[in-house]
Amino acid sequence: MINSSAISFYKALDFTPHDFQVECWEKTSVGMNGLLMAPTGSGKTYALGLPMLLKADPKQKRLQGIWITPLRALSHEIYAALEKANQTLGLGLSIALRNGDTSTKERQKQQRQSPHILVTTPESLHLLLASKGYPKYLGALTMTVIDEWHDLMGSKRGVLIELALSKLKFLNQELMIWGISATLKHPKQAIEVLAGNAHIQNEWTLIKAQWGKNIEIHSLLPKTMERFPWRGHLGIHLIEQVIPLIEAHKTVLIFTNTRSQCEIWYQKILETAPEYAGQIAMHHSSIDKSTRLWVEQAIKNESLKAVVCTSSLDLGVDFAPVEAIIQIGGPKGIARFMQRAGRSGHQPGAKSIVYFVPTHAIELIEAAALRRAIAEQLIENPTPYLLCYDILIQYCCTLAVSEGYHPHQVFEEIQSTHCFQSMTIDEWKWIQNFLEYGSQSLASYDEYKKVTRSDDQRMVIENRGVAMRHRLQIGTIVSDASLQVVFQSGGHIGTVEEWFASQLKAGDLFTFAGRTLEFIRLKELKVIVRRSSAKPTKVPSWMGGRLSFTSEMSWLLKSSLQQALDPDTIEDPELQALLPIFERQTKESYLPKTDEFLVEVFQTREGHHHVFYPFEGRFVHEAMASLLAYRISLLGPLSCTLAYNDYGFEILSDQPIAIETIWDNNLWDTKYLNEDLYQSINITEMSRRTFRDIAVISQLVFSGYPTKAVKTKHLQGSSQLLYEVFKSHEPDNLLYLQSLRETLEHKLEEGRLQQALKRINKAKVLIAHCVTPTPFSFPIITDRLREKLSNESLAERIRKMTEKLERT
Amino acid sequence: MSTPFSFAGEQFELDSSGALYWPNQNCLILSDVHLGKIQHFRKNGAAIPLQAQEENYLRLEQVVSRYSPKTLLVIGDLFHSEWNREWTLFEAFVKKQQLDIILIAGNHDVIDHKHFEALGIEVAYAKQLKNIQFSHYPEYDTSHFQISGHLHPAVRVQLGAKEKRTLKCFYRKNNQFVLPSFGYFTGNARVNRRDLDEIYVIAEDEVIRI
Repeated sequence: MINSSAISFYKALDFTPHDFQVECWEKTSVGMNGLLMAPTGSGKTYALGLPMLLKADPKQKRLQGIWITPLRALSHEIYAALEKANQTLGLGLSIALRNGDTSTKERQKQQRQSPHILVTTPESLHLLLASKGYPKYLGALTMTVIDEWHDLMGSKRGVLIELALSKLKFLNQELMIWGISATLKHPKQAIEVLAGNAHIQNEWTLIKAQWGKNIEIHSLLPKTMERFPWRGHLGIHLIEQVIPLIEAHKTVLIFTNTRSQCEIWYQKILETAPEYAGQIAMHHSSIDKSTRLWVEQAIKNESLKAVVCTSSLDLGVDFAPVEAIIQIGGPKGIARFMQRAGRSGHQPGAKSIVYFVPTHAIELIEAAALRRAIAEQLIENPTPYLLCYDILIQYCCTLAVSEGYHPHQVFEEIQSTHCFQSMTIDEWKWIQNFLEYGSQSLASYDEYKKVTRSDDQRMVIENRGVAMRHRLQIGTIVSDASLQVVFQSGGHIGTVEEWFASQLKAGDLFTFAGRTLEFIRLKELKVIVRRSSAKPTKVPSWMGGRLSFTSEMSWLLKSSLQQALDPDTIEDPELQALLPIFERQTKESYLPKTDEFLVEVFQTREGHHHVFYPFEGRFVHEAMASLLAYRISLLGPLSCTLAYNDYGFEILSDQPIAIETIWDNNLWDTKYLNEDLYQSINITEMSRRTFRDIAVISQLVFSGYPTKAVKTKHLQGSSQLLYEVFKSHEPDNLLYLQSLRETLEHKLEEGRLQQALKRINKAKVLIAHCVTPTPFSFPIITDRLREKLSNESLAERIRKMTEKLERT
Repeated sequence: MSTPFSFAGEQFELDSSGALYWPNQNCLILSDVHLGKIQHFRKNGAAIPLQAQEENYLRLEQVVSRYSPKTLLVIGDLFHSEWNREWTLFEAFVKKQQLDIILIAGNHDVIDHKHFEALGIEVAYAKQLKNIQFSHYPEYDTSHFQISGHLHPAVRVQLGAKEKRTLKCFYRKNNQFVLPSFGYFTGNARVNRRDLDEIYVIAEDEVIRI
């Protein structure tokens, strides 16, 4: 039934449906669950949207289908597509949109008179669960679709979806669930996370769109390789070659990796080609929302030649006029790269064209690696979160404010999710005790009040203040403490992070959102500025802008290097261009094979350099460098500094380290890894930051009302304080333990670290005693942001820093 | 541990607990203890460990036994909120001490003063000892010497290429001296170092001038 109506819809539009669409229509018509892997712009919306519409009964005035998207912008797009089909086929369904932008009035209307289909976000869905009467409201659902699942599953928003689905499945035994994702390397895992236990009981089907989008990568190669810098991160030296590319296409998106890089590129393009003034724009997440929306609209209207942007434009709306992408610097991950590439060439049959602008020579290897990734269609799976107690606590409160819940029943429901499948009854009891008694045993002295037990043993929230604060805080996106940038005359420009603002003094000039601004003063939570025509001296940078290699990327990089060992077989122009550098590297040191591990040792005026090359990405290297330095320091006195990038890491010390002793003493061992990590890096500092998010999500601290922003400074301060309080007074608190675990698993990528250490242990070791720095080591040893290994007391360190300041 | 400090022609000791000792008057001065804050949070649904309440009394007892002062002068925000059950802990603490306690009421001291007075605590809004005025709010009035609290000052200290720490501090600006918050569960507010004349940070158990 679905199939024939769907085909008639396509006839009406004068298109022939793709095979994967027909397959989706067939599988949904027999009520199967599944995952559809298809790229954006391939027609995935109609593959599952038509079944959702056609299954709905217009005569039954109840909600029958929910479509969940991660972004508001995307939900508008989906809504428009579904409405178009609804009109064309004359189905007479009512379709509604519900997200953070939906007015209260509209929401109330939706509550009173239920639409047939709802397009929404994970947070808005949880808000529905927080309103009275949700079992009835959601009780007639037949189908849910989760869009962009590959993006959601690696974040805590994915956990929100898992929990919401566990409730929806309980309310509707026959509910059909479908995910849509990009082409993943391990689709089975993506299904497991989405389906939870259900994938064992019911059959889940996987549909893969054979719709290989054509992606072409062209790297900008410097005219002479000799003059190409060995290090750097901006890529500005190639700007003369970038301008003609902008000229050659209708619209291009220029992707940078950080917001400050974005600001700098925008500035430089205007300096180099002033005729583009008014035709280029900038888009990053700190720019004011209305400006961003304006830019997005302008891209659609074809009124812009180029937009310099960051990952803020990775996802979301389709921009038909975009003909090509310019990627500045390595995108560090395959998924991100494909995502960006997919932003261009949306006209039917068009190719996606990507120009890669390396910021330094070695980065060209990444372009060759990405080309292989595209040929082999390898997209890394994100790591799903496990045992997120913070989200679970929030979810329990959500249920408690609306209808209340019976703990034993909810426990059963959540055990069917991937995130909480291994949760024990003791942990569940701990959470219930936390909610009811604030993790205390004796209640006599205490005035804790949150969730209480009703007469029929339901857990409920009766306190109106607690309930209201809870509703305001549903969701998991925690923003950094940021300050608004506003003109003295009024008008928002965007936000900068607090620490940047705190460095400014009156009269300081900085560039922001493509304008030069003069700092006047800080007032409340606002940075007051005026325009200036002078040359700026500062560019704001935002923390957390750094990206690290994913594991797939690191593997591809190693195998691309392997190719370089046999120059005759090289096909990639990037590797061809790098040949003189590879020759130099081989002359001075080695080019390691995939089963070899290279260590370079040399001496400069700065001291003794020991450079290691695991090619695992900077996060893994950061942990590995600290771990190794710590373990070496246990063998004897060591004073050193550490540096790292995506390719390797360096230990620089005033005396030589005998590399053989690292192997002789088995210092790459994975035994006692966690213990040694706790000793070696500032894990406390990292987990304190992780705990900040956990404290907000689990509502240990309140992030403020949307209208009268309670200062986030207060929030930050108090969640740091809380961390210390838990650490010393309740170290077995599950939320505190979660912050340590998440730091290890997600920030330090402990799993990858383990595997990398094992690989190093098995690899053949190449120790190169070099005379001068090699091409590989150069970008690492010139890194000025070095970590110092020190075991002096805090007071001692402050005294030394103060002395140093006084000398200069 | 403590660090000597002179102000208004008088000698003081800056204690690493955040308290200020004035040997000449045998007086211990501290500010912003915020007792009852944990209970206040718990009452509003935030499950802060209850055991942490003890910490403030431990700190108070330690610093009192270190200097054995005759007078304890609290320059504001002794109790965080309206009356809650932590009062009983406070009561027990006061009854154990052989001290004159003076409270200069701060913005958080909303509890009816008669509760304090019932425990023998003198409540005032300002206090003059020798040539120094004690108040909760700093007034930066250059015509006289003043010691205050209220601000919970802290500064950001660079410890290495990538490491910065926010540390509680005492500071002086002209004739104004400001104490850090003494309380265990209190937040800090970063102050701009450029504007200040003297800064002393608390680095674990030491007080260091920077």
